[in-house]
Amino acid sequence: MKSKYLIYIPLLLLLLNSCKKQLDLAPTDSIDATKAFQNVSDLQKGLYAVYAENNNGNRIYIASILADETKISNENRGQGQFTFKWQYSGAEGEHNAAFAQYYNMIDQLHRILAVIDDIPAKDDKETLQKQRIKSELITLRGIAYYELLIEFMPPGYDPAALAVPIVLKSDLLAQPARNTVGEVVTQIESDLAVGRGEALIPSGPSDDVVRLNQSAIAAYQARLALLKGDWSGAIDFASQSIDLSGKTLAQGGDFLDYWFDNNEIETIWKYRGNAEPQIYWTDVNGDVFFEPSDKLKNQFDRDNDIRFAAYFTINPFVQDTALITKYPGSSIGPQVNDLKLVRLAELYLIRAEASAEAGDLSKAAADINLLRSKRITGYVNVSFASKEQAVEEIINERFKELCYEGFRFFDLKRRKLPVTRFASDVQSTTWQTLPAGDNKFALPIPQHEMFANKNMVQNPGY
Amino acid sequence: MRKLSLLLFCCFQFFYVIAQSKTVRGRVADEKNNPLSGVTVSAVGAASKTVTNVDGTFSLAVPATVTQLEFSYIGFQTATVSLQNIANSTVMLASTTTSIGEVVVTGYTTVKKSQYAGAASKVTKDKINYIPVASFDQILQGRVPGLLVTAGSGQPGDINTRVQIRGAGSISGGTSPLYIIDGIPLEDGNFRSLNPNDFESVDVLRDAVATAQYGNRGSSGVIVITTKRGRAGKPVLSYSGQYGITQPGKEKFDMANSPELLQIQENIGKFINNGLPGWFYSPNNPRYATLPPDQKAFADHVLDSLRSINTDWKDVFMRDGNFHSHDLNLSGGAGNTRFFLGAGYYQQDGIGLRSDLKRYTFRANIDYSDEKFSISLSSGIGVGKSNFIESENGIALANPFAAVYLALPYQKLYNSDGTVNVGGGHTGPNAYDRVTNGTSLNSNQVKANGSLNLNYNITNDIYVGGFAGLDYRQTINESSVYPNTYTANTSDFPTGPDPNDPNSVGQGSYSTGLTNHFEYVLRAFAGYRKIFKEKHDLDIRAISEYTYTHERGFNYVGYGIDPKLTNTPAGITPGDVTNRLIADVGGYKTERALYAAMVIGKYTYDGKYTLNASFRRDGTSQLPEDNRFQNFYAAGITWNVLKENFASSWNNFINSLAVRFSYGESANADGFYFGFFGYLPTYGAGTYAGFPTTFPTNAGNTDVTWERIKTLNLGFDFAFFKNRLNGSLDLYNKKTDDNIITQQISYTSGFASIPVNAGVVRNKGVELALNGNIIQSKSITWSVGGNVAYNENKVISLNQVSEFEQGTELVKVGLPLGSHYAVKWGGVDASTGSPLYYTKDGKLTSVYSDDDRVAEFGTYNAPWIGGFNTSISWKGFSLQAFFTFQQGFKRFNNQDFFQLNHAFVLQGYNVRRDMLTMWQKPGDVTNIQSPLYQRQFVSKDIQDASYLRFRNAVLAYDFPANLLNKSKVLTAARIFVQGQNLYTWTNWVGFDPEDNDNIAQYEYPTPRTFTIGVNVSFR
Repeated sequence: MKSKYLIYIPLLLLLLNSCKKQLDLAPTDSIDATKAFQNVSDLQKGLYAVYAENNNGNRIYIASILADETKISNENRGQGQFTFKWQYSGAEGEHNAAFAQYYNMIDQLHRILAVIDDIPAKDDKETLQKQRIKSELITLRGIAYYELLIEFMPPGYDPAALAVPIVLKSDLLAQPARNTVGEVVTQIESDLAVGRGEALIPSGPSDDVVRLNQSAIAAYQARLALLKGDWSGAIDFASQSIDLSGKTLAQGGDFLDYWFDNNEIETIWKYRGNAEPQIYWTDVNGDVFFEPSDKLKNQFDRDNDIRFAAYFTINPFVQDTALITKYPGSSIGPQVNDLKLVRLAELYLIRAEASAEAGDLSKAAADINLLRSKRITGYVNVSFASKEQAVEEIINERFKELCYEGFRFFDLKRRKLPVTRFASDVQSTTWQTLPAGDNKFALPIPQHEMFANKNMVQNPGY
Repeated sequence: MRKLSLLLFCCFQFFYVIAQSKTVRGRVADEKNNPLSGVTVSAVGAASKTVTNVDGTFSLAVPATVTQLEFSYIGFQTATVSLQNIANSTVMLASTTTSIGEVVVTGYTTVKKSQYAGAASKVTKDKINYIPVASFDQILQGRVPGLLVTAGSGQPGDINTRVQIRGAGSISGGTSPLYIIDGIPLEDGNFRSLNPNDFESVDVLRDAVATAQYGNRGSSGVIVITTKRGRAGKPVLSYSGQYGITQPGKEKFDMANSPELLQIQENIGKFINNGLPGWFYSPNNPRYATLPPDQKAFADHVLDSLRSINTDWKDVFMRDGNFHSHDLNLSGGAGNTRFFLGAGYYQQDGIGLRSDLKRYTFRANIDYSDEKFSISLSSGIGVGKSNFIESENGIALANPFAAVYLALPYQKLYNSDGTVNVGGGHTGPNAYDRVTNGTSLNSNQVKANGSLNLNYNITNDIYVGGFAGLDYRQTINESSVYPNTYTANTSDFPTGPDPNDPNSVGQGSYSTGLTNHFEYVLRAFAGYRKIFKEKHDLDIRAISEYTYTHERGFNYVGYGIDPKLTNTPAGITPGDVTNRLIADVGGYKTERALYAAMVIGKYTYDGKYTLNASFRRDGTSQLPEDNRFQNFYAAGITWNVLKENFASSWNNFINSLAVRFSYGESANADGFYFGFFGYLPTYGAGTYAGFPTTFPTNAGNTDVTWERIKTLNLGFDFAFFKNRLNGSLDLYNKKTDDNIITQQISYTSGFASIPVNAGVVRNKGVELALNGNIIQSKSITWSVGGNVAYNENKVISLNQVSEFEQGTELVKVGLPLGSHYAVKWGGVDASTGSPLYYTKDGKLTSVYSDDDRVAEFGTYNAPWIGGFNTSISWKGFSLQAFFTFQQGFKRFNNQDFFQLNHAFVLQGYNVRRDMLTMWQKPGDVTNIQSPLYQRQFVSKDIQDASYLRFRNAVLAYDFPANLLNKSKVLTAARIFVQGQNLYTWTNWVGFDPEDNDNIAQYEYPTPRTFTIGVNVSFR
């Protein structure tokens, strides 16, 4: 008779079976990876996510504290001090955060490139959109590799030296080895060339200042040529970028307004992610972590050079202390500013430097004189007596014009110059000078990467 | 139709069996001859059973062969009585005093402990009820061997309690036990709306056999709460009330007073020129010599007047709070039905300004049982309303418990006109204004749980049943920054002033956040229970269970608050492009489902040997489809040694002796560190420059599978000297295989890590519980009891790596979890004042480097934990004292970093008096470096936090029955005074050595509470 109760067993099994289906739950708050890209509009969203990764804020910050643009304030509680004092190691920090950031950007664009050809376009317009997105993504990969290259390669330019691994597809378990500087440069050149050859990418920042244009791409070509010492290439690309941009150098009130993001006079390409660059150097509560260095302040003709007023605010009560106010806030928020990815003034400086190096001192002087005449009231044109003098003055002009825009440290690095700070900018001589070509110019590969990637080798000295 | 005939047939069979039987009648009562209803009466050697009626009577038809009946009831010793001793007389059951006779509540059923191979401990209501602590998990501290309970906060209603059973079993995942109330799984941590005074008992299940029914979620142990149920008879109304105060304890360090702080400022000023008054006005400042005489006199005057101000910020921010609680219970029953109704009110003021908890709870438990059916309904609802301080535990000036110590003693709280002295750098007044005037933060929680359990006996041997239970919580957190207060005016836009309008003031903000937890569980079960030939006792049950969890929440912050409509959404100004007061909104929802099918069985031979075994198949939606279902099993045996012939002469001094051995596996479905869908590669939505974006958010790993926890347990239960000394000893080895940890992957993948099953953690240890009745005479009794547990936690393997960092800890093979990781402090160089550190190779250096961190400073998981108590009673008086301890663990003392750090002096904060010993000139031997060097987190900040705490004391008087009988109103009356958290012995230099994590920040300290109370039952 007991066997009759076996009837309950199928009932239990039935319950079990129906419950198996009940376990098939899907997340409501995130998108299953297989469903992320299904149409051209999704691709567009993916593209903007890649642009969102291309935030040069970290470079702006570290280039300012690694070099001679800043000094540690009394109110600093430790922020950025290891970096400022060149005491960093492979441990994660602001000094090597770019590694994860730009590989993340590269992985994201690879994920889109992997599926883009299979995504159907509804009409001709979408076909063109797809085409442009694909070219932009490839170009952005070159730009990401440029950022990685300048941070992690050794100082100077040695094509045989180790740079960063070239990764060309998304792979969670990849353990790539480092490629050489020459190989990475070739990759960047080829990626940028895709963008330059894409007719769908507009010539200048006419329609969308946060999206790539030919002028911006040419600017990266010019930077890379300058890095390689390809002076004629740098001159050509800089000229192309200037011509394609349709922009002119700002002066007077326009220049002051420019930093409040009230106009786009010199902008060729920018990052607009509600960034708060001011808080790199200043706490949200107003505590100052880093002040402008005395060395930098001393470069300026305080009365006539409008850049002094645009870049600094002097504290009238405490003798010669100042705040970095190149990012004074905008109409979007008191600390919110766009970050300039490519600005016109830099291209004149690139062309001037390349012209000087190529021996054309008058062309170099013409670019420098044009820039200075826009910035300095009552400026009198100069001419250069020698290549050395010209280069020195141009590098110094870059120091002044492009301070707090992420260049200074990398200019010194590429030219194999030392970082030399004023004694008044440091509390100890231990961190007054970083000798030319020092190992610390090549930033350390993050500890995490060393740990997770058995094919990775660290830069010397860490 | 066929089914129906089947049922009829079996009913017929049933009556047929009865027809051959005889009927036994009797009555069951407790030691005081009060009738006990609901006592299970079963025939020994046959399947017949029943339960007693409200008046304690029963009648049971048993086969003619039966000679003995067994009586079992929760809280009483099970008795086996021969029929001739029963016949129409009263069977008295003795309440449980020895451990071995107890029953264990495993959730769906109760098991006699003598027939149970699992490791389990019971905490009875006398240790849980009427303790002046809101959250019951904190009440369990020290009561159960191997149960680690550390409260993270003394704030009423705070939920930051860490509970661990037998050490941390998971490296990255959850290590909290599963909580069950009347069969319903409870959401971890949210206990402030549960009333512990409604609890009858709490069982703590510690090994795989004990947790078999909850195997998919039970790997970290299970805590089973049984609420009070009705007792038969005329309804009894009882009231319990307490009134008292809560007080701040005393911290074990001294902050600088005004003259000392000014001195410290001057000492630092000699190295670093600064504008702090102690240096700026100092005669030793080179500036002073250049001043004209009148300004010199002014400087002297300023210093003198500052020295004379000594604001006691502790007095400003802390207070004595009120405490009271009231409980009204009605319990009774008639016929086959019993009920328990309870209502409770609990109110506790925090020792910090503004913080409090008010709790309203209701409970209704109803039981019906007859020979065929039993039905139990359990339901509870609680509303907990709390006001909180801001930034609790945070290093933030909004946290009053940080402000107390950071505030300057030479600043006054009030201006001469009576307004609060707010302003830049006025840490104390600003924080005071913020908590009393500038902001609000409150939390309103509703928690409801209910269950219905049905059991139907198809035959004497076979039963089927179902269970449905749900746990629901809704929490609404509300906070405000009031408009045009100092707090609002110094906030960022949009809470603060509009930067584009220099005349604007802070318009404030208002936010509401709602979180919602909903879980239900459905069980169907069928069982078979029979005793064959009087010696073979078999009990087997098949269960199928489905659990569904849903979490959701949303929050918004609105701006531009109308000053006449504060603390309500009605006061929010709708945002637009012009006023830019755009509200922030956010939210989430997610779900999870578990399925389990299991068979759990017990077989006892002749009362001597018991085999417990379980097999289960578990599935969860939290894992990829291919790995979703896994099998787990557990088995254990118990040997009652005294039932052996050779032990028959031992009775003289051993009263019971049982050996338990068990081994089994369980899983950790609540402990997936990656949440409900972490295995799945996913994308999220965002925005850039005004355009929508899609980007990868989770790497996922579709190969990940269950963590497996394997527990081996060897236990002994014993009682000696006429049960005067009894206890239990357990040895265990708990190994977690396939730990889900984050495997670090190359950044070139776009992610930093993926979850993988790698790594083995082992917890092994010893648990001892002892109780002794030292004096047991008619008028006086004195007993002592206690428990101690030692747990050794060790990472055995991490597969591809040997170590990785997790926060400030190092997870490393061979070390326990929670191992601190820091650079070893080498003292201060007496000649230069430079701090010295040890490199990894043990060399002294003055250069700090993260690379020199080592993990040789212990762990924050205490290896030794326990508690002990003693109680003395004489006539109606009784005195109980209870102590808890944790030994051998270390915590990061972050307060040291702030309070012994020149940088915080320079930023205008107060520091500890010890800063006077800062290095100042060559030859100074001190542990506090020159201010020219940056203060780092180092090993000297990792400090021993071992403690012994006088946790609770109660002095009570029970009025004698003869006196109460005269009153004709009361049947029982007790008055008592109680103290909670009376004293702590520790070397820890902070507020409270007890905390739920590895780092001491500015926690809300645990208060000391004194209450007086009464418990009365009405006639």
